[in-house]
Amino acid sequence: MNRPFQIIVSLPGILLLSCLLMAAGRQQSTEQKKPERQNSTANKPAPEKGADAKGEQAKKRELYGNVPEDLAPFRDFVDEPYKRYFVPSDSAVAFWGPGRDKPEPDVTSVKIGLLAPMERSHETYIGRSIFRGMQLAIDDANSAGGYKGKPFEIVARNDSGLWGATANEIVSFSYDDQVWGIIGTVDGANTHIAIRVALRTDIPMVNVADLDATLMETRIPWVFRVIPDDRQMVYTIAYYVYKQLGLQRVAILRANNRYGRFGVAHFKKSSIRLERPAPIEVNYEVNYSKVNLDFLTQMERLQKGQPDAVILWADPEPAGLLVKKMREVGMKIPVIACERVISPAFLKAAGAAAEGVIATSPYNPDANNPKLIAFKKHYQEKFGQQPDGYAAYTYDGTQMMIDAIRKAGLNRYRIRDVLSEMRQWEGVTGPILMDDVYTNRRPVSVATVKDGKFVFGLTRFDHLF
Amino acid sequence: MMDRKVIARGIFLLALLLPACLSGLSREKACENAPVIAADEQEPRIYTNWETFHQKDGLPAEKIYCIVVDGNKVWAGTDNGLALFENRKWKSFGVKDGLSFPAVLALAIDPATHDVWAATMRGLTHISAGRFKVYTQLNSGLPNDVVFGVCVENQNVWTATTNGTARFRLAENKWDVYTPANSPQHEPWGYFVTYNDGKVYAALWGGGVLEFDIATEQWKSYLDPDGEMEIDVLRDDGLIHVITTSVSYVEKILWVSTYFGMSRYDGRHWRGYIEGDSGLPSNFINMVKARGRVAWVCTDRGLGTVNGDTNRWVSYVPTDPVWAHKRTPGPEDTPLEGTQGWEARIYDDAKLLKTIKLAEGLGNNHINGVDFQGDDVWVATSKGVSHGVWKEAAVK
Repeated sequence: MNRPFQIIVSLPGILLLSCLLMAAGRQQSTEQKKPERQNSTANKPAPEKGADAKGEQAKKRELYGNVPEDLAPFRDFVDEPYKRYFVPSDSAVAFWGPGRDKPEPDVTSVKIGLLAPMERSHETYIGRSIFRGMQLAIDDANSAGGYKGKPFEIVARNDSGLWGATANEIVSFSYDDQVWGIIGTVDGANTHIAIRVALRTDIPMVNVADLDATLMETRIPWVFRVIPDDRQMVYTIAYYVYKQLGLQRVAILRANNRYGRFGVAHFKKSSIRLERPAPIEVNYEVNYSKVNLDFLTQMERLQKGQPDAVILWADPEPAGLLVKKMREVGMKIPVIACERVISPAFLKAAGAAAEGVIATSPYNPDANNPKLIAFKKHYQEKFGQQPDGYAAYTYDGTQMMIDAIRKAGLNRYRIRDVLSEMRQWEGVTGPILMDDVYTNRRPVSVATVKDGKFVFGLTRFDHLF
Repeated sequence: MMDRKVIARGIFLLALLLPACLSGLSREKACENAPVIAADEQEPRIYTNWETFHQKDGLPAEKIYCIVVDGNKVWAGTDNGLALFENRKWKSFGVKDGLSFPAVLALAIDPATHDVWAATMRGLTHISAGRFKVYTQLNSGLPNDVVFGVCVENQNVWTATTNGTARFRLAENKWDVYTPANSPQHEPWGYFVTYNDGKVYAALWGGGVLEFDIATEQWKSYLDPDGEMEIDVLRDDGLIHVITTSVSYVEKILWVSTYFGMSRYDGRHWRGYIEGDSGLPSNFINMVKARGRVAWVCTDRGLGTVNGDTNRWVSYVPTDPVWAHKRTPGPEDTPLEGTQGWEARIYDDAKLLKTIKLAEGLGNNHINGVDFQGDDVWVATSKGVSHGVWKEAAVK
């Protein structure tokens, strides 16, 4: 066999040829579709050629996580992957082990664990909201008679953010504190650690503030998440910047931790699948105040990327400082941010530069929902401030846990079972629509800074995932 | 003219499928060369004699996390202490005896000294000549107190924790901790460790499998090629998923369990197994351990065994379990647990060949661990320790 032919038929040769052809195909396809994108306002994914309406509907049902058809992984390479997980055709995420026949013990109070960063963490602003939301739900439940006349009680433990510390806390909840369920946590890394231990100790967890998509993609049947995840957020953003605004070069600016890295992960994938990969991804250190307060390095790198817009995944204060710095160096491009920036701390740090910043939100706090209105009033009276999204979702998540305990009795296995049956729940945040991995798939909301305040629903988004 | 994109897709698929095709050919060849043996003696064997031990028999708890055999002794790690089976009697050890915590997640025996290493939810306990010594993150280099896995490699003890995989050099009293800073992993989430044949394998939560070559002290990483959590794009293209739960390396075959199915790697070719394309009782696998060419697969819905050379399966599953009818029984519903017995199902790949009703089944379908004692097998279930007694006469 002559050498050139050998190279072509070898595996690397085939892959190389394949990549070259795909690149050519992509270029051709981009060129062909350009005019359509520039004028695109309908933004509905085009149906597959030859697929009838029924077939299309069936296919959509089998896509996990509300992923739009045109953002589905490997759709350019295979019509159907070998196996889809977390969809109705997959085995249910369920606990098939024993334990439901364990008798109910005699207790003086019904303990529920709270694991959240309340001190020594850059996320205490979320942890404290979680605590307040849970406190309100527990107070309401006890006012309504508790559990068979016995009060519900919070057992709070700090999520310090140190690697592995969460594991020790779950062990303490399970064996020392004897709680019936756990509310929390915030950070993706810590939550992954926590759920692995919860799986071994057989204890239900309701997550109220961790948007890391991978958390629920682990098949652990003991964890339920009431807050919509980052998939919903970034699909909304991707459709907005690419399909609705028709932008080409959208840069990423994020925290240099798991929250930032995984928060933007599906946005990066979406950008590639829509054939507009992010021109640059810049991160900042979480302890920025000690290493790089002026963010000049980040600004320099961002400017070199010449972006049309920036996706910002950061905690409120650094996010505000970054936006302020962007405006100072002359970057007047749109900024679309994560839900964490919807905070007074962001507005304070950014000052006038906050004007026009858009953020996705897990719910609409201005919705005309009687339950929400009553909750906000009650919260204001008790804590002297308005609740944020984390407090609201914690209130709902705690209420679900309490409801499950009341229905199931004091048995962790039955409490888990009842939680798994709660596929639709009307809470203060609106509808909670749990999917096959027990995460809330309700459409997210959007907020825009106008006149120094976040105004919800101001900017028109054609697709809210 | 054919679209360039279509051609590219074709070539891309061809490139990805090529190893799988070669794998198929090699399997066929292996089957051709396999010795001709009677159907009843084919591996995996069919175990029809089972006995199960519960708390009433002397176990400290019903929930058994792990089991390990040391000659005539059987050690079981439970939710409430460590248990030793010797001379047909169970003896328990708890915190009062020196165990660091009641919940024992993993066990390892030092083959040279017969010392026991118990990985608990609050530290690592070393049991040597009747004495207990506890290692925690505060008194040693143990990365975290929740120890998911432990194994002995020569004079070293390896642990899998949520804060890194560690090697404890016992003779020197030194700890080496492997994290993203010094090994190819994204997060330091150890879940399982095992040693055999000069290599330590670590199953990482979200990080696939790490291989550590003792001779060269080099790490190698195995990841899911498609990199997606919600799909497996192609069968047999590599590790089935990055959420790995255990590893077994026997006779140069690497078996990897996940909560999404199982993978087998012979050094050249990968093979994936999921529910529906094999006799695997469930994709949710807590542990896999091989004996010879056969892997024993501990799932949440039964115990599977497979010969990777022939893809013949024997799976032990409950008949008509309560949970199959009503997944979430209410407090008033009885019974909340139980089955109409057990059966062994024999498969050729995914094709069910035969079902054998068992007079006695396993303690529970939720299987956490397995180990071997000669021809016998010991199984850790969430409701007791089960013992599969090999009696050729029973099959004949």
